[in-house]
Amino acid sequence: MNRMITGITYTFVVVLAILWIFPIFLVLMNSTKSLVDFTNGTIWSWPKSFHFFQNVKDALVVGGILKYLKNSFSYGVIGAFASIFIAAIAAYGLVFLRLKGSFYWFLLIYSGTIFPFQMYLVPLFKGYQIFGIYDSFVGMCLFYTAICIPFCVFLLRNFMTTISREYVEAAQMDGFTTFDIFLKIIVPFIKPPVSVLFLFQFTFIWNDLVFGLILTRSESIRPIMTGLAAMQGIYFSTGVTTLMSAIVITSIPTILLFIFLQKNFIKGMQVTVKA
Amino acid sequence: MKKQLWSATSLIVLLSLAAVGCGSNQANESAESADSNGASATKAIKAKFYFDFPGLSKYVTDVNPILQQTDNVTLESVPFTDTTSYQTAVRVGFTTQEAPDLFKWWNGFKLKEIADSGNLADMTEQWKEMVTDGVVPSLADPLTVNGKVYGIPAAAHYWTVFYNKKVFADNGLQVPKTWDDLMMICDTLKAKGVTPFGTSIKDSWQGFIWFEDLLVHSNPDFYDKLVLGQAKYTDPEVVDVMKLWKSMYDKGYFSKPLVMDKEVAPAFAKGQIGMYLVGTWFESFLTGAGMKPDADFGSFVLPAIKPEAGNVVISEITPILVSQNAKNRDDAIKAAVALTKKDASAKMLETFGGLPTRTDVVASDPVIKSLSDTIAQGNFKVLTRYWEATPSELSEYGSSEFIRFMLKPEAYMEVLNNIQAKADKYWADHK
Amino acid sequence: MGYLKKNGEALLYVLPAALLITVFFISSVLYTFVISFTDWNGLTTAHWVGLKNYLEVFSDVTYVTSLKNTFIWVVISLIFPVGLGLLLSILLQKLKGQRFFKNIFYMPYAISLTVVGVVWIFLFSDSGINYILIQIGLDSWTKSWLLTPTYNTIAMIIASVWQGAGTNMLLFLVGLGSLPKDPFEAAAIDGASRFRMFWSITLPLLNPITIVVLGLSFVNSFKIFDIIWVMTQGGPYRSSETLAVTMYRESFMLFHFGQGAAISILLTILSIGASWFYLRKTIVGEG
Repeated sequence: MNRMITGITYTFVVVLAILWIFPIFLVLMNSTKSLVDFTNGTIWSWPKSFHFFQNVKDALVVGGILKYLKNSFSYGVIGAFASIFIAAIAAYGLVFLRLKGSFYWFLLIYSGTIFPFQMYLVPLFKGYQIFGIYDSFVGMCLFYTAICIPFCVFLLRNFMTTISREYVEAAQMDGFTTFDIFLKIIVPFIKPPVSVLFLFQFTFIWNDLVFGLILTRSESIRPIMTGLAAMQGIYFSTGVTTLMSAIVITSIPTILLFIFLQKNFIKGMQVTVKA
Repeated sequence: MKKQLWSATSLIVLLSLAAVGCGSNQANESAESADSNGASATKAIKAKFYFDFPGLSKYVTDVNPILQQTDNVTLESVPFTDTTSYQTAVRVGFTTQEAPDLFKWWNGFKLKEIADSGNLADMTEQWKEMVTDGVVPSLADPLTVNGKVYGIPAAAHYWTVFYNKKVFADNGLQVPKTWDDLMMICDTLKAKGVTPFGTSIKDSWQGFIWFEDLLVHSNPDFYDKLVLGQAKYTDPEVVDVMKLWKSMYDKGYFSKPLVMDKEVAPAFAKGQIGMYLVGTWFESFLTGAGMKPDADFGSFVLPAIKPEAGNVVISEITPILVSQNAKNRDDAIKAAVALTKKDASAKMLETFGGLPTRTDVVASDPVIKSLSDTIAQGNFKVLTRYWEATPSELSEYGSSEFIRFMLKPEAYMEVLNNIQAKADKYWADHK
Repeated sequence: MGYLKKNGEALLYVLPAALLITVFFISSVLYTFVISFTDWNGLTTAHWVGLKNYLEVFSDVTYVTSLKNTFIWVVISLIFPVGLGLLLSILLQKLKGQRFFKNIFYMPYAISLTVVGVVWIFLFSDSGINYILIQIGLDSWTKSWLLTPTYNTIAMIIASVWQGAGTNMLLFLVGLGSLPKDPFEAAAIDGASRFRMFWSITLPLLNPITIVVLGLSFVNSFKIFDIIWVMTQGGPYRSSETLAVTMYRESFMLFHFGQGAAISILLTILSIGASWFYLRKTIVGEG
């Protein structure tokens, strides 16, 4: 009986997994075809030649994907770290520093996740131009940092409420400064949720398209998804296969990140969710 | 990064100065029209060029060496990948210090709207010299609002029917002279298992294509009134057109919806559809599918449905405009003028296809060439595309309602009533 | 003043976050709120129009479709991605190779919506699923999936389930991993069936996490935009629009910034109202 159930479970999971991986497999398969191969066949047919590296080269050179990759990588790393840091000290202040009305401060910060993001487009576009940070590296980093903060605060605050106050109080007795307590006591505790947050926020920033289009204009500032969207527009001249290979390259970082951070991720989620 | 850019720019400037200094002698230079080479020797112009048509990125790369030669102008691309964020950046940009120097736009109401708001640089003066230099004078009309001319024409396209020559030859068919000819062609193709016309509905604007063409070839004067709110969508003239359109659906003349930029050209090349009504810019998709102009496909203007309609063709003019608030408006205007000169204009024709915007540039493409000859000789009445001829609110809504019709032809009265309700409201608000 | 003195140090820690949020988002929301009472079109000076933009939403038929679709998305997002996530987590919980399967199911989430859109547009085109249907002789099943109302919404929901179920699965797996063992052992001794155990022990114990997952799906499905914009732009004839898409269309295609602003304010009120229950449970409850 039990073996039968396990058998059925496996079959079901394997079938679903195949369905799940299939679209990704199709993209991978088609990214290795030459354009001729693609046009003569269908998206389902097996590649006749291995053209992947040529396609990647085309995507990097013709599509100019490389500089966009660099931009987005910087935004992702800077934005994710900055937002996590700012959120961590905010959460610390909210939870441990006996801030009066701390719950309302929290609501203020958390409200950033409630509104539909498209609502921010026009005001930010105007604001950025007024303050002269339109189409600038700093402007993009600031925006990505800001937009990632609310969720980080939400998670970190939840998490910190599970840390016993006694640690903090003991440290205060020992004459630690407030910031030292944060660095030496709190930071070691919050490592697991931080890796979760890094994964989420980096992925979010990496995958952003709309704000990248609205807040920037030059190639040296624009993020990767705008570059990819541009390739989609001109794909009839660069070829579908090039687009497919660009899709593969642009998806690799976030997938790798997940696979590497996975162990921390689960641990982090466990503690976070328990709270 | 910035430093590199600067040194690169100054290198380019130096090189072009050197080129002018060595290359052209005095006599040659003074023979040129007053401003061009003279300006280049004095000042380098950089202009930011905003657009939402991906092909223009390559155009800018190709045309910059030419512009640097003739006018010491360098364009800097600001490409957008979708029309919505593009229009937002341009429109909202006008009121900030980031008004685009040059930007691609539409003619008709879309042009009028921003001209009326005072955000466009007046180029009436420059048009005189541009015409002397060889720009087609009649192209000023579509760019004129209240007596002032704005911007330059980047491209001019007609809306015509592409047909597969092999399919026509195999079935002994000729280019139709009359509406009855066309119906006969459709019947013949249908009998042979070829779908006469491809259609597309993925983007909402694709809804107006057939409506517009059927209406202008039945009653062009009525079309002019309708788009300006002087006639109703529920008037018998429109109802008749919708009935005709429906009858074509009933007879199976239209394919199931095909995605314009992905599925149409292959289906056309394979002879699954015989004809496709679209702007002449679609040619690049057909050549992209491996077809040769003139050898494999040709194009004709839809014949008059009612004889009194006469010869009519729909046109679409793509202008490049200059913002009134551009940081260096005068430079931007000079850059725009530079784009209309012969070599730059020829490059533009390569990018956009369609009709030449200068008298001394010839369409190299045989299909376009013969189309424009026919239109020139046949004394055609040229009308503005529905998308630009009527206010955006109505063209947008109307087109998407026509798509409802295309999916459900029996609903034509509902569609017309819906559009008229919207139109009533719009024209009441915009007296 | 007294507040500042007493909370000065704590404020120092909270302010950077609070300031950034206020400057970037709260101010944007206020700006939108003001705009929603005007007829601003991005070009000419805005005029005050009072409640006109809001009243319009209730009088125009196109918004009704949009409301209906938003509702469909919300309901379906609560059932399928969450249900499938739960099912997968339970199946995978004690399975060998859990890690491998987990990666597969999560992977779509790491891919951007732009890419997901491109992939699924291909799949729903004639060279995609239709091609396979023809190959296996089911010609009559072929459809222009993305161009036929109702099918297009279903198609997009499939794409979003594909993308979103993995995250829910992960959250549930984490929840399942942290359940206490005792109740299960006791039930096993009593000879309870698997199904019985699941129904009366696992599910109730999993409640806190279920609320988090449901809450996240809820808030996000109200705002659903990207996948629709990429795949159909709300068409054909606005048949697959949701409120967020309508708002975007009004603002950025027709430049009725005032109208768009009014819709986004309404959307915000709706989603805050609807998620109040969830917020109270997860935030106020423990705060």
